Amino acid sequence: MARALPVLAAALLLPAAAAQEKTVFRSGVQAVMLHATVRADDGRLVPDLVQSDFEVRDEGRPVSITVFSSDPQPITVVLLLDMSGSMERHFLRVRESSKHFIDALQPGDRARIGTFGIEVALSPWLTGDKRILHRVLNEELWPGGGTPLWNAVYAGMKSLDGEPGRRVVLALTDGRGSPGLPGLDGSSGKARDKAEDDGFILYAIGMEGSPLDGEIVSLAGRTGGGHFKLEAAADLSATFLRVVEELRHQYVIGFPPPRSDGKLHDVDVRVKKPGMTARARKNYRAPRGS
Amino acid sequence: MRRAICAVLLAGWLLPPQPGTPAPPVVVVHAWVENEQGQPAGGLRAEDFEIYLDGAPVTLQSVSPRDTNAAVIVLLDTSRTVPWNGRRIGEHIAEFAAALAPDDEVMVATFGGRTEFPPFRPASRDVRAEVRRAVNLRDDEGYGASRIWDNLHRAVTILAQRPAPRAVLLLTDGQATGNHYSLVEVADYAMAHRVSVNVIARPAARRILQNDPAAPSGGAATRPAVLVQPSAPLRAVTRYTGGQFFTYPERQEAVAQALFTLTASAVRGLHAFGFTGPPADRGPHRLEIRSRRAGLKVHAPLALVLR
Repeated sequence: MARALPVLAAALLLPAAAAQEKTVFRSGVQAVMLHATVRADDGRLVPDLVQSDFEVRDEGRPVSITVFSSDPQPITVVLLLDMSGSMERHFLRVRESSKHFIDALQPGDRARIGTFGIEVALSPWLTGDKRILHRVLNEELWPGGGTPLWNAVYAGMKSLDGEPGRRVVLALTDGRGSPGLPGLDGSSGKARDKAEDDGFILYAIGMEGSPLDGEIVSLAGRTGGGHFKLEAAADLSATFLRVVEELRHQYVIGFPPPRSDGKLHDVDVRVKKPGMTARARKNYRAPRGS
Repeated sequence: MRRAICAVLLAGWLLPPQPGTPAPPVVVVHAWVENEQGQPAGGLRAEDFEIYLDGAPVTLQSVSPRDTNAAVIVLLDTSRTVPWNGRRIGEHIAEFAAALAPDDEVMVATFGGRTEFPPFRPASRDVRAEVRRAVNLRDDEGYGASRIWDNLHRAVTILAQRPAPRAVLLLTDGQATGNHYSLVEVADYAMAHRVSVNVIARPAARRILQNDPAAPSGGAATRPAVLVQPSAPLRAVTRYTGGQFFTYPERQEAVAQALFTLTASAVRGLHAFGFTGPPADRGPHRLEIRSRRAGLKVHAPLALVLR
């Protein structure tokens, strides 16, 4: 029932918060926005916590939560599909599972589909229209080439510049990124800086084969996202749906930044109840004071 | 446009309207007719053909060689998935342009590497140097999306401002990515503006084995294969719009050149088919032109919009 009763501040502030994911800075209304996933020790999602169940620390010091909501928030996601030569054997599975991911989106959600391989290509469509997204999956997946993972992650984030609300990049790949493509922006460092500065949530799904790139695993964790490693017979659709389910049940938590120093601040979200773990971004860029 | 006006006058002469009855509209469609040797046929007459709209026969008024200049856009995909040889493709396009009618106008547009839609120029102009420039990309060009459908849409939009006949020669591998428009939308758009889309495609079809998670740790024999065939949508667009489709023969320069020349000959040999149509309803109609003469094959759009 608590899910149906967001605090008044959330009702008042969420529209503004949604308009600027990174930070909301208005006179009298300033908040750093976090999206937290809470799982119990047995792995199930915990959707029914209230504001007082959470504790947030900025650089180790507790801060007051001023924005809170457990209502499902719309998802804005870029789905990046590795089309490198080594992914050829998964082509059909990837395409069909991606359609299940699209089918799981709810009204208000929006997705963009991108591929990386011999080129990095992002669909111009950021939409909740499943007919269009299915069309892109049917018409625009072509296997071949290397794995310019970081070019793609960076391009995916750039493609969401200016988009309101929670912004997610979900990359499906079968291993380590290869050197970037000439003329395209993006290295792991540049992608990390953008994710941290602009508050992107990154998820990575690794197909069976070589292990996921350690840097993307690390970055996914720091952004409050996550990573999944698929075994040979694992259900890719189920993994996609797990990501959607996580995003659907995230808590929105906001607090006023203690200092406006323009620096990267470590932030820690915890659940006071035992047997539960919260996952949210690990840092944020504080505003620079006027 | 002159052709359309001529056709209207001709129709008026053949079928004088009754007082108070509006003259039935005459529709002009351009198509080319292939003879038994695979070349554009000549000496065609209206009685050699019958024409059907939405499955019903309509009265064919005239068949005559086109008497207006054609506007043609050569649309060259220079993305990294399409490794053209700059010298060779320059020669092919130059020969293609040379095989058009002298007063036809040609635009050599590119996308993938650099997107450029320069002005139309006379077909007699030598385009070799500019094609070589377009294909010889810098090291950092050509790694983005292959917006085949969006650029085909743009070409049709440009051609729609020109009098018929209008044609595109699209040179690509068909691996379209990053498009706003879908294959179907662009095919319909080209059909509606009576632009025939011709394609000479780099072969890119592959059969790839798929891991089957449900298979009991099987080898290749237990795995289903997927045919990745980028040429399939290209073929569909050409057929729908009355164009030609050819696969670019790697390492067979003379054969490749013959295909370019044949495509140009088909544009040069377009005939205007004038027929009495129903009132313009701006809606799509299924079109079929059949030959009554043995050995003739008609390449016409499969649909048209009556305006």
